[in-house]
Amino acid sequence: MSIAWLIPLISVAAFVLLAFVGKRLPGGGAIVSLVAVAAGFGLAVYGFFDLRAADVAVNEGPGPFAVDFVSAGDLSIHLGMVIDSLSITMLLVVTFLSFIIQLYSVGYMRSDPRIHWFFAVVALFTAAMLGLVLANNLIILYVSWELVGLCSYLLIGYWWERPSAREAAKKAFVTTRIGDVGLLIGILVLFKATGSFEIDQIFEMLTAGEIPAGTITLAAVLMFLGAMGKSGQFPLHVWLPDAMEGPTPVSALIHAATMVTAGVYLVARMFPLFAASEAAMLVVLTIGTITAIFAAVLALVETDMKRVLAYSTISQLGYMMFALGAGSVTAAMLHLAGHAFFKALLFLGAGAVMHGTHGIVDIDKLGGLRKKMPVTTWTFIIGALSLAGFPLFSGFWSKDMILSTAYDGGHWVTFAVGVVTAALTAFYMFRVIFRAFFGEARSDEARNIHQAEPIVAIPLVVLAFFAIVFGWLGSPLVGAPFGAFVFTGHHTAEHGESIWVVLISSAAAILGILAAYSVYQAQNPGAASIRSAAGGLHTFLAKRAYMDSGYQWLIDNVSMGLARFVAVFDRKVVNDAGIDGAGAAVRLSGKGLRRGVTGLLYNYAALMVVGIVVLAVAVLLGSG
Amino acid sequence: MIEAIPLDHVVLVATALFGIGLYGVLSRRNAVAILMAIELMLNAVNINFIAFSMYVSPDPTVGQIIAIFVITVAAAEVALGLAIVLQIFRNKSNINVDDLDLLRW
Amino acid sequence: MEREIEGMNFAAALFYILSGIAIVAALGAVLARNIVYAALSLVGAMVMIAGIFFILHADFLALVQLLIYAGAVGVLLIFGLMLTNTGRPVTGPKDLWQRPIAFVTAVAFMLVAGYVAVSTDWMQGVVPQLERVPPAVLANSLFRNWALPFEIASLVLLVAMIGTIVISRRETSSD
Repeated sequence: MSIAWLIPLISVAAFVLLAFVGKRLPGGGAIVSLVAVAAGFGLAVYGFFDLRAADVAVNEGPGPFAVDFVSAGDLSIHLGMVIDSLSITMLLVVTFLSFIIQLYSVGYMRSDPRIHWFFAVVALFTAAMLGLVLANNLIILYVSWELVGLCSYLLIGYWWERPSAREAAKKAFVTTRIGDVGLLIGILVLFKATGSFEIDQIFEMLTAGEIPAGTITLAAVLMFLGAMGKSGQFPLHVWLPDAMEGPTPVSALIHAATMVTAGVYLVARMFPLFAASEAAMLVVLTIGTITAIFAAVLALVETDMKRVLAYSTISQLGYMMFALGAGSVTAAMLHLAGHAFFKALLFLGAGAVMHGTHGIVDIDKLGGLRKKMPVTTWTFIIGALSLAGFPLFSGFWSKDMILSTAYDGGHWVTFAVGVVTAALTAFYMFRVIFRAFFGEARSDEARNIHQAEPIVAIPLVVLAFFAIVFGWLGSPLVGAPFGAFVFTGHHTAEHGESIWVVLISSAAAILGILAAYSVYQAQNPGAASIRSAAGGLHTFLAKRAYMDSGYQWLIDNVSMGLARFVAVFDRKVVNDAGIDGAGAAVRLSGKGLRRGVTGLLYNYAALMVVGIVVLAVAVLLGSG
Repeated sequence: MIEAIPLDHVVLVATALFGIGLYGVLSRRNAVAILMAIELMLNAVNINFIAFSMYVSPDPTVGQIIAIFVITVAAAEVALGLAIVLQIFRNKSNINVDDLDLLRW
Repeated sequence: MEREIEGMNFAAALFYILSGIAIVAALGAVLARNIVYAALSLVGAMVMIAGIFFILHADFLALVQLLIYAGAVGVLLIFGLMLTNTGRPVTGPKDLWQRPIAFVTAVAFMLVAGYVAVSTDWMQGVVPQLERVPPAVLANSLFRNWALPFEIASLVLLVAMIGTIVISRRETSSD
């Protein structure tokens, strides 16, 4: 598979082409980007079959392509690709979803004047994401990581005419930056300990026990900080809800399916490092658990459909993280892939709603959409069922695997949290469904909505299909082929699913759906009364647990305070005292010395004689 | 004979005259007075030359000849100096060297 | 003039007397308020110095000193004073530090030079001859060994003469 490098490169070429001449191409050059991604998908499929025959584990696999990039003394960085089951899985997911969503965008973004730039950046993003996934050394990984962040910034702020979009883009970039710093330092710590940026070399040294335990933990935790930023783990999750300012396809692609999963991928890729440190695994587990339930709770009070989905994404990412923390790469990756499908589906559905109502996405203003947009409604419901883990849908199998991992690992708290969160997930998703799609329309826009055009509707159907089917790959009923493909270390006899776990998780999902039905659909007085009874709690959650204001306070006082101090220091000390001061010193000394030039000859004569006398004395003393 | 006069004494006399002349150059304000002090210094130098040529030098004429040249040049110098002072006087109506500070900053 | 012991003492005594008067006259030349008095003092000092030359057996030079220095140069200086006499009273010095610094500098110089003069062994065991040099010998040396400097000296005088005339010309409107 040595032509793997073509996959990202084709998309890069698409980006360059679109950025420069995209304006003149028909349809904004969407074709270019679509073809590039489709080609990438084709190559990925080929690679998949190529790899299946080899039966290699995650993180073992040929590194077929290495090019010397930088050679400086003892340090030399090679560009390389790693093709193993982990990267192939990600390749397939990223290319497929990128393709589907770009297809959808052709219809969704049709009237946008800058559409060529949209496709250009999406192509660049795809390329960067693929590069990240294929990287076998940490430098390339980091570069792709940053590039992905950049594209996210560009796309969130795509409609930069809106101040809220600009702010959201900035917020995303700054928040992930905090994580990125951690990642960079982690990479450097590893480099210092191992002398190499190559992932396989690092793992060799790891198994040989050449890296001290403290360093392993430190590096792992630091890299996890990067994952926290990108994957929106608590407390660095604050950028994801605001990132909904970007166009809906962007939300679907980047903030549901691909970019935010980069953090999960990172931990999965570096899994041997994490597995070697109990402390690091505990950190991942804890943060993932907290994130899962925190985001689910915040989703309960959101009225903006996209924001609900954003919190849902954060919560599901928490699931994936604690799956990794509990020790199962298989479970996390299965959920990652499945989640990509149904979350993208949900976002695209929300986008269809937005498109049809010309921008309304507040569920309080919608209602009764089921009658006018049947395709959208039913695909949305399928996605929601999958997300909630309703039995036999895709999400059910992957969520089950995650909960089993927690259960078998003895992490009771995590297991309990996972179950509760599953119930909450079902509840808030169906709250949205019952409010928006059922009942009576509550605004004019909702009444006059029209069905989405085919190019928008077809991707929804395709994704719905996968939302049902994909998860079966992880089902033990068919021999868990996914687990056979993506596993950690070596073939393990994958644990038998405990029947209790299955029952409990199904019960949680169904309970949540029923609760939502009773509150919102059957109009039990419960809804309004709950809200008024828990008024304080409701406000607390609606204000996102005051995290945003907390961060703002921190920035205003700490960051800005530091910045002000540095500015004053720079002005007063460096400039005034240092530079101006040196100049002033020269000037003043010159002024002083000028007084000696009196113009009076007798002064000069006196000085001459004094000089002679001094010289004579010096000679006398020297020789005498 | 004059062996009774030690050379050191003669040189000391010359030094004294030179020093007095030096003081005059540095402290007088009238330009002509400065010229006069310079003449005094040159005289002291002459004494030195003569003394050394007589006492120490194998050829006693050298010092005297040098002294002749010194006198010659001193005379020329006084003439020129006075010419300059005259011009200054014509321009500024006084020859106080305190006023000649045009080369000041 | 010299008669053995008494002659020696006589010459030495005369030397010291003349030196003393010369020094006093020099002080007068430098310190006198009235410049004409100063100029006359200077002439007096030069005459004393001529005497010193005599005692040191440099007859010709003593005469030259009298003629040129005391005569021409002194008169020249007095003429200069006459031409630049403002008649106004002398004002105080601009720089009050001038006198003390000059004094200190001159004294320092004298001390250093005096120290050098006294502490160095000039004679190095050579007994001075000190016979009188007849002017003929001097003239011989001057026009033979020292012919080139002699010619150059005459050139210097020429240049000085021309320069003096040029510098002291009045500016006329025809220039």
